[in-house]
Amino acid sequence: MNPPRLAWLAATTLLAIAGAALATGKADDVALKQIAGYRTWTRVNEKPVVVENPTGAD
Amino acid sequence: MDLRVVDAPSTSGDVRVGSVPIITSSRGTTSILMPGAILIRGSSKTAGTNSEDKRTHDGGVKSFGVIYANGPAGDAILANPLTIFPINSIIVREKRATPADEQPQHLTVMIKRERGFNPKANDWEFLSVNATGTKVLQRQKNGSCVKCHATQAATDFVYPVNNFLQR
Repeated sequence: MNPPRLAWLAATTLLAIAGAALATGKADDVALKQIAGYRTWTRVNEKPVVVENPTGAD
Repeated sequence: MDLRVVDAPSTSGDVRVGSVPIITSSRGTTSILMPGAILIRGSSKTAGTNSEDKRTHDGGVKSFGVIYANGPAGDAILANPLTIFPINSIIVREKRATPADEQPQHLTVMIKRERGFNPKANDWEFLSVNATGTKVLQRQKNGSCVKCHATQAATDFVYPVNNFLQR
């Protein structure tokens, strides 16, 4: 593979990665705005729910 | 106490929660025992004499949740009977270390996306967010979140709390 083509491929890959990161960051920002002020929403349970989870998955 | 699904009793007489979480409500407090938790026979409490119990209680995997629902989700919760949560329903659970804590350790969030977003989970997206709500730590369409919530398919992947959704 000749050097110009290799450089083009590298640049394209970097752009794709950067684009994906930007998209993810934007989606995160949207989600964070969606939940901003959540404590003013309906509180479903008066007393905290007790969760026993041996896997610690949450 | 409503034991719905448990595996065979262990040799100690305790029982281990089976593949479906156990949900109980008493005096306004809801308890959710996830698969693998161990129940002492004849008691609603879990406690530990063996290493796995010790891990449950000392390892920080027992937590307390305070749950909030936005407008669409709140309306769906109050609907009788519940059919399905509408798009843009959002449910936030604060994970707290103790019942008295005012500040969460982190937030777990369910957001109902557009139809077709995540068919395996009724189009819910699951997020883990830091305590201050300023950073998304994890996003999931599949994985451990969906695996557990799938046991609650009858209530659109949402765990019932107190009288809500338990009609």
